[in-house]
Amino acid sequence: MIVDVHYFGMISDRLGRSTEQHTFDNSSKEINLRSYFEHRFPELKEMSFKIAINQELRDVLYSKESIHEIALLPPFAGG
Amino acid sequence: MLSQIEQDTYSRHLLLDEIGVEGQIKLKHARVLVIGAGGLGCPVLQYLCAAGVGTIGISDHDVVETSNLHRQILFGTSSIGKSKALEAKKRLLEMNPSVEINSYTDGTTIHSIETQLSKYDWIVDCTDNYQTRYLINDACVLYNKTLIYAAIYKFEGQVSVFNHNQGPTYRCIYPERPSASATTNCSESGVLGVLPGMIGTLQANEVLKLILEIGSPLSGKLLLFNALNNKSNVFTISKTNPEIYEHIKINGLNAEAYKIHCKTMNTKRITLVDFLKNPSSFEQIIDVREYHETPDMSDLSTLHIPLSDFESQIHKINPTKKTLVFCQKGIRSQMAIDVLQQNGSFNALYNLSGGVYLYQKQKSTL
Repeated sequence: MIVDVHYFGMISDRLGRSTEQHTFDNSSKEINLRSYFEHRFPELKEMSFKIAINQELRDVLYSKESIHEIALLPPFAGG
Repeated sequence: MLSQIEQDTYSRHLLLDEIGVEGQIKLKHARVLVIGAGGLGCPVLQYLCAAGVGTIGISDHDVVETSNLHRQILFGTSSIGKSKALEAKKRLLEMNPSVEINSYTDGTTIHSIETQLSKYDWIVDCTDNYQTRYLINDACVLYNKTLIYAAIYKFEGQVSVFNHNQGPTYRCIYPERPSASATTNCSESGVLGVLPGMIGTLQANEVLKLILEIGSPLSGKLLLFNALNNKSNVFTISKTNPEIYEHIKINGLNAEAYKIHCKTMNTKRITLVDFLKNPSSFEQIIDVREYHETPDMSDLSTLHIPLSDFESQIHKINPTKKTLVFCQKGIRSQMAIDVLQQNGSFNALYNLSGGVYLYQKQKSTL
């Protein structure tokens, strides 16, 4: 399944990308996206962020679930 | 009832079926506390005041700096060095003298927040640091206030409404405060001047909708806006971590939870008075502010290493020397000390309490 992944704020800066298409294989098992992204980008382990799937805040991509969008949302400090 | 002057001033509101006289009277009776009179606070205050919100509190302990002027539109060059809360009040009363404005020049702390919140119905978070943001969030849960939140980063902004009718709060998105290393503010990362104007205006819009009971507030929603590509995203937030709220309601606010992050507990702090008694006792004095920040403190510092580039220049620091670290207010210098203590045996590190801000404020009286 090809999904649009959006990176926001400091995560976008740190990873040098704001959006990309990425392939996920959840055909036989669920995927914990936090672990998945932390494994793919180890620098995320030191960062605070929330994951949204189809604009809903949650971490787990269920088995066989069809989605079109994932977002990684860090907190913003500025005011 | 509205006076003739009020009817003239708010005539374009009165023409709207959604507002009318009834709505304008709701605005007149509303009491809103805006915490932080910076990039977000300025547009929020300006529009709430212009809209006729009857009582407005402005909480900010800071003074206006030159680097604020590109985005903090209530201030001008004559405001530099003066209290933001008082300067904003002066400007707002010129704009709309019928509004009651209370300034809190000591800002909002764990000691003052209960008293401050008790005087207002709606709380607006325009702060620029996580310790105050979590304090306000938790206090709104404890004292049952609706919190209108926004925050910015470079070209992006977030807006939401928290704890509205016991709805989700900031901790439902970010349960714990980010670590010091994951933290930057406008001083370090920069910000497009117009961004807080756009995000603050969205925030003011949420306040007005809530007071007027019109439209759909961003309760249970997180709005993200990117000024570079004009994209808006609205994310759905569910209420999570009920144990956090139970804990706050049972135990109240815990001062330790809102202190500046300090990974190591053996940092020594020195007050300005003590430092000035014997400044030559320090063999190394490090300014960790960014290069563009004012005032120039090169007469005081022996090294200038911005926090944003600290780890790559750490080799310039002699670990055997007695060292004082300072920044604008003492927050980033603490982070720098954390980094030093993780990277070697720096055993004589001192943080200047209150930083340059206090230094500038007090040196004339010493």
